[in-house]
Formats: sequence, C-alpha cells, structure tokens
Amino acid sequence: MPTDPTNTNDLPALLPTLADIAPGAIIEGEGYVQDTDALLTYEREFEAEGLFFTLGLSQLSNLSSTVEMYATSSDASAPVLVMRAMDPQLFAQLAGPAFAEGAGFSPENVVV
Amino acid sequence: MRVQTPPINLDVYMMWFAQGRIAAQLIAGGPRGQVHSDDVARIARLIDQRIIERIDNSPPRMTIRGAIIADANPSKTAIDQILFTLTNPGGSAGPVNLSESSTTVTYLDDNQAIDCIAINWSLSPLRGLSEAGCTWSTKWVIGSGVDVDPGEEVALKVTLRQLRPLLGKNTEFTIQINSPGSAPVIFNRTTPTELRTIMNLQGQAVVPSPASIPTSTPSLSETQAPPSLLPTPTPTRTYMIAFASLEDGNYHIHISDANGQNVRQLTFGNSWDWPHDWSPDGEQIAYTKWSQTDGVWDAAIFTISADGSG
Repeated sequence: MPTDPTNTNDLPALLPTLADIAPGAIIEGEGYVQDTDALLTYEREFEAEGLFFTLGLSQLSNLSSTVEMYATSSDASAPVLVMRAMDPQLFAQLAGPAFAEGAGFSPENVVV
Repeated sequence: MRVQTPPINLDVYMMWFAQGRIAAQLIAGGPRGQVHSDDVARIARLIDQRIIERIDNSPPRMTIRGAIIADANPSKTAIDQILFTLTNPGGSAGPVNLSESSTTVTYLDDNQAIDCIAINWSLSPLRGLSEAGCTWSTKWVIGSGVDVDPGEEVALKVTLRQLRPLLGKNTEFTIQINSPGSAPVIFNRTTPTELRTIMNLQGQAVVPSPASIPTSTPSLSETQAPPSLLPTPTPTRTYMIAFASLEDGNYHIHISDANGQNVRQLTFGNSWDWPHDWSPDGEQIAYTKWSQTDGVWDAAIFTISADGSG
C-alpha cells in the first residue's frame, strides 16, 4: 500500500474535535470506514446534545467530517473536480436524499 | 401511542476540498436560516491547515534546483513542456527512488488532475501512451541509475500531451512528484500572460551579471541548473534579442530583432545551449553548453559572436 505523504497515517488528527466546536455537541460516532476508492477513510460525526449546538453564528443539529487518503493527488482531487464541474442544484437533488437518510431528517435546502 | 415529531425546516451545507493525496468532506445541517457558510468554511479551513501542516512537517527528500523552464507550442497559445531539476540535498535523507514504476508525477489545474505516464518504461510500451494527458521522463544531470543519491541531480521533463483545456496564458497549475518514502515534491506556478517559445515559470530572469560569469569551465558541482531562457536584450544593440529555442530536440542560441523578426540561429549540434548575457560592447553572447556523454551531462561556458562567426 502506498505510504501516507504525512508518514503518520494519523487521519483522525486532521479532523475537528469537540475542542474546536462550542459546547453542546457530542461525538455521535467516529472511526475508519470502508471506501471503495480511498486507501483510508476516517469519519467523525458530531450531533447536538439537545436540539442544536452552536458553531460561530450558526446553529447546527449535525456535522459530519471525513478525510480520505488516496494513492495519488489526482485520485484525491478527482471528486472535488467533479463537484466543481457539477451543477450545484443537480448535485443537491442527488445528494440530499442520501444525506437525509443518514442524518434522519429531510433537508429543504442543500448548499454545495 | 405514537409521537409525531413536528417537521423541522433544515439547511444542509456540503464542502469538498483536497490537498495533496488527502481529500476532505464536511456536511453541516441545521435549522433553516441558521447555518452560515462562513462558519462551515472556518471548520473546513481548520482541516485544510492541519493537512498542510502535516505535509510541511514531513518535508520531501528531494528539492527543485534552479529555474523551471516551460516551452510553448508552435502557435504559442499553450505550454506543452515543463523542464526542471530535482536534487537530493543529502543529510540523513539517503537515496530517493525515482523509478518509473515507483514514482507518480501528477499534473493538476482547476479543470483536471492527471497522473502522467513515464515514457522510459521497458515492459509495456503500449501502456496507454496515445491517450496520455501527459508524460514524464528523466535525464541524469549528475549521477545515474534510479535512486537519486545525495548530491545527484535529475532533470525531469513533463510533456503535456492532451490536456483539456490546454495550459494557456496566466493559468495556475501544479506538478506533484510522489516517490516512495518521501513527502511529495509540489510546485505551483502561474503561466506568464504572454507565452513565448521558452519562459521561466519562476517569473524572474536568472541572468548572472558579467562579473559572475565564470571564465573557466565549471566543475559539475559548481554548475547550477539551466538559468532562465528569457530573452536577454543586448546592452548596446537594443534592436537585437538573444534567446534559446528548441530545434530538433535540442536548444540552441538564436538572435532576433527587437520585434521578434529576422530570427537567426547561432549554435547547432546535439548540445543544449542556454544564453546568459551579452558582452558590454554587444558583440558577444555568453552561453552555457550542456552536452551528454554516456548519460552524464556536462556544462561549460562559451561565447559566440552575434554575427555567428564564433
């Protein structure tokens, strides 16, 4: 397997922690997950202890963060380039239902 | 009794970004009108900074030496070749494997990310070369083999074959070299606003002052990477320009009028000739002649008359 460019494989350290987010959030789950494309994928999911938690001026009910390490930089950039090239409205229509299923609610407005 | 949860109007923000070989994704959901993109972007920047810090804290074991040279296509609408020199600075780094089977050279811009194909392969000459967006090859300036040992230098050429769109004027791009056991060598450049035959992508001329031009042939250890090939106007004959141009796979000294007309080739042969400067009286051009013997590049300083008489 290709080596991590950081030589640490410490993907969890790249993601935000509770210390980066105002009180009121909890870690709902985290860990390495299977991804068909990436060499390594790590996810950390935050959710509100109550209804919402504060992030700056925002109120959030859920925050999902993921880092993925790929074999090459072009592999890593490809999804980002696809997102840039895709019509945001179309992408929102495609991604919204999948996110709603995972998050447990139905978003009305998806911003990419 | 079944409890019906009242519907909640929610916004969802999604962000993707990539840095080197690592991609990140952030999805934030919250009450309608209460999720601000600036806050989501702040967390995204936090992740981005941590990725960059990790890469910075694990420096590559090779460095780029000297200028990065680009060559435009015949119509001068796009760059189709990039040339630069990699060196192993030594220390505790040890050798770095730069073999085609272990090294990945990647080209990236805002529209595309392409893993270039090594053209010095020996096993599979049909490996998709005709469809390759770009290719890369090496020439050893100092040393030989596939390992770049401390003190050795390798010239790496990236040929952009089928970019869509082409690498045009005033365009940002990145070349990344991944070799085993080393953090990537990454360089980002913006192409000039006007594409000439050859240009320096560092954006500055590396033209030595006359006093700094060696009077004797330098040893390899003293030889720097090819300097800028930007045209050098003569100090007294302001109507003439000296520059290097690719002829039959080799770079040779040419001069032209100030308007680029009346081009005359001054040097010939199998060497690569880079102009440095004019003599104070404007009669002579100092240049470096790079020639290869048994795979080893050697460099020497010469002068030639502007009329080509030697």
